[in-house]
Amino acid sequence: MKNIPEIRLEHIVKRYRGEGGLNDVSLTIQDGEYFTLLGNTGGGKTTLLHIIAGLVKPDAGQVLFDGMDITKKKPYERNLGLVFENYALFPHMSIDENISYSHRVKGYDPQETTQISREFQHMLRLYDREKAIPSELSGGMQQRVALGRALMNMEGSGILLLDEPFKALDAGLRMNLRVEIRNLAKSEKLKLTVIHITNDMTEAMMVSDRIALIRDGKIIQIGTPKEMYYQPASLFVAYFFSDTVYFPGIVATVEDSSYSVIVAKDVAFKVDNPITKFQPGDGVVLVVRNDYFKIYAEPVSSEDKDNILTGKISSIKFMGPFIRFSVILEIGFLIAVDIASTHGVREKFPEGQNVWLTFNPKKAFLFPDPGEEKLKELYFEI
Amino acid sequence: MRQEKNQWNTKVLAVEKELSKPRYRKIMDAITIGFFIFVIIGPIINIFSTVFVSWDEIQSSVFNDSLTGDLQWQIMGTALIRSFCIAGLAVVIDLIIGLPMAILLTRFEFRGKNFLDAMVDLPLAIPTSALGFSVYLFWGSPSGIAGLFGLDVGFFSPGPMLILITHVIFTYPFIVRSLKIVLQETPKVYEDAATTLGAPGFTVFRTITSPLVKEGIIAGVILAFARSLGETGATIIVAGLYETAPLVIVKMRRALDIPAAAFLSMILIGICLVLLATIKFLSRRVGFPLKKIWPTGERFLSKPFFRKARNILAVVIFIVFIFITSMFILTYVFQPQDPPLWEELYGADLKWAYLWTSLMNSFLIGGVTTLIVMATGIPMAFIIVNRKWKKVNSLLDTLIDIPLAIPSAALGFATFMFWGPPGLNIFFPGFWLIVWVHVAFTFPYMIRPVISIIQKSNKGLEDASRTLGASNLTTFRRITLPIIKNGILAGAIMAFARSLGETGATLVVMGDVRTIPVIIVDWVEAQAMGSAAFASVIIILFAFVLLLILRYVSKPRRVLNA
Repeated sequence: MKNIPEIRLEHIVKRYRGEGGLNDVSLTIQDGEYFTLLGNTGGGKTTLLHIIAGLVKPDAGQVLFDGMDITKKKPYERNLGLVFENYALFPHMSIDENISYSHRVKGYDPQETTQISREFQHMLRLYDREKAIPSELSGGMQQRVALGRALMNMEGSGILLLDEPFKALDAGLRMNLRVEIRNLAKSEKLKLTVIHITNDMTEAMMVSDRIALIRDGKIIQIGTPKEMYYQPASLFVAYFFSDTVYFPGIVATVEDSSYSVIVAKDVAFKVDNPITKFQPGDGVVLVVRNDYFKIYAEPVSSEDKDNILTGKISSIKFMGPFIRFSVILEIGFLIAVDIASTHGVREKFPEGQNVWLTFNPKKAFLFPDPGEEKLKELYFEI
Repeated sequence: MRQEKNQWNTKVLAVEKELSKPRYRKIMDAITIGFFIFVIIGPIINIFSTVFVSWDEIQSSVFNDSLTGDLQWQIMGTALIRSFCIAGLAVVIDLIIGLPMAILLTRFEFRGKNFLDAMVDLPLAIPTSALGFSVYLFWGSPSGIAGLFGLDVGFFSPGPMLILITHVIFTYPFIVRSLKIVLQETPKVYEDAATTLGAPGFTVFRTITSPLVKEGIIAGVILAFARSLGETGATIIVAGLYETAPLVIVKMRRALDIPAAAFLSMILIGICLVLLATIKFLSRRVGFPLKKIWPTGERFLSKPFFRKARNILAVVIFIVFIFITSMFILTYVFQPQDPPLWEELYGADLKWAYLWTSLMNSFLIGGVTTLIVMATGIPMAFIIVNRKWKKVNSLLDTLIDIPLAIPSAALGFATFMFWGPPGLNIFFPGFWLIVWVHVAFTFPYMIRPVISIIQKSNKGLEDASRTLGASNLTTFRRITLPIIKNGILAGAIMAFARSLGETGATLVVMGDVRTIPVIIVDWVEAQAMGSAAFASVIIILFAFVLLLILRYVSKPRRVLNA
């Protein structure tokens, strides 16, 4: 019923003096896709969203809806719904006036407007509050009003832009609303194309069809949540999506696609099928997720397992579903490993206990070594 | 050495701890409020009671004089009507030319924006009598714009037209400033939201921006109206025979017609108090018919062409009508004159020496005034922000604005009636009475910036200091004072500049002491144009320096925003 366009950005450039600029960003968002722009503050997410909405003019590049160049169109000619970070509900208007604003300023039939507005209020479970003003509502309700106001303005486009929509809400409410907003977007009635901005990795994983990770005005990687998690394209992506341990090293041998990486004197780790290919002698960083380690209280034979590390537990943190052990390795590193907090784990691994750690060669990542400086910068930045 | 220093420090801390006890705070509060009531509120109440007590005398001189009948009353009535018309027209014109300027300065980014912003504030710094003189020279004399067209008389002779131009100019910064403040305080995100929802620029302004800023606009308009209603210094120069109400007060005071002056002062003060009350209490209830929406016409008016045209027009009107007019006096001094300027200044009547004494007087009065308002205004600011006296705070908050609204000539006269010979008989017309009046009308200028910076500052810092063992007074010295320092400086400069430029109040209470704005008036009346222009230029240059310092001081700093 609705004609939902594909959104295409081509070589968008926007220069700012401080943070928030964009450097040659291109991406395509499909019909009916739930797309998330993920990245830290100042990375350029909001700038990109405002360029799509027309609030910011790009210095170069094009914005296309269904192949039509709309870069020069005014924001009020674009008919898309934008939910602002703090909602920006008009403080001097009632809920009903806020929601129906777009139809009123376009001069649509008042009776029809009222009816559509009521329908949206009903859909968003805003009962009997049409006369209230925004400041009288709870945070969750304000968010639904902002959503309703945006939905009213989407006729013919079906594009919904969400700028950190859950930032101002309590943690518990946030969880529920994530599911709710995705269901709404995917519902038969609306079938929206959503572009959602967040700096919360979990949120992005929960709601998205695809995620684009943005950093310093550049897209680092685009992919489904699974791809981002299991096939990170760079050290940054790997680190952004989970807690990791890293070992700088040098590739010693390559057999088929099995790599041997020397990380310390007489210590080599095996890595199978890394995403990037390397030559012997290349400097690399070997990355393992904290929760990919297995821990043993007695020696493990190198015939049973690959990649064995020995060390001593220096401290223990109980995190709920898992326990985080800080382990001082014999080769001199201090690493954190996360072990599921099943029955008896704590008793078995007290502080000061000598432990043996292993990880699966298939689950480690290899990335080119960015140099010690860069590595430190990256790990401290996040 | 270190030991000694430590001992000294310990003593200071001990004294501060002692003085932090509640009873000293109470004494300080009492002194502060007492001073405020005596110096500012007292004279105003007194003038109402004087009129009431000596009603018979007033009736006989104003309404039933044996020779002139109710001539005095007729003069007052005419003057009041004129004042209202001028003020009303000036404010409407200012709103029309000031609103686009305020929008330009808050919602657009362009090169030279800071410079334009500073230029807009200029008429605020120029003493009004110098400003009036500049307007007269530019529009009213052959050496101004008429000269460009080869005319040998000015475009307008002294009278209503020149008064109107002058009032438009000196109220312009008031309007633009208050509009700017409310526009800045209104987040742009509301406008962005409306734009993405399909509203073109003009509709956004009408449905979103203007309802959100209307209270600020109304307050600014009323304030500018009150200022115009009470202006003396500039008006006296350009008025000719067309007398506005404050001029009539000055004239009656000069003619020692005390009862009549008291009566007119009371009327003016009463009107302005009503206006002030309107700002405070009624502005929230005023509504404009803004609900209706007209899509097509507004879409047309929102086109970039109109926006550009509006911006350019705002700047052009400002430069031609406001800026050049008020700056014209600077060029006048360098034009050849007859007799030459130096001959006039060194003439037999010792104008040079006179100018010098007046300059000293102006600075001395300004300095002493500033010290007094600092000493009394800062504690008052803290009382208003920090004490939890419920209604009393907001009452004081309203009361301190009174001198902003009422005509300074009337305030001067009220002070004369209260502190001078007709009242308590403590001060005689002259230096100290001038200082006393200046304290009264500069009080809000001092206290407002301090209040706003205290309100913005982080209360947590003071609490932190107290939990770390500092007494209240030590906390004030080490934490609060450094944070609000710039607010105090801004207030002090504003107070000093206002004192330096005041004419009306000084005219009423000066005795034989003269300040620069007053000798400008004297010399213009004596047709010593060159000397008057020279005196104006000197005082304008000083005022500019003050304005520059003020802008530098009130710039937001990183430290304060933390």
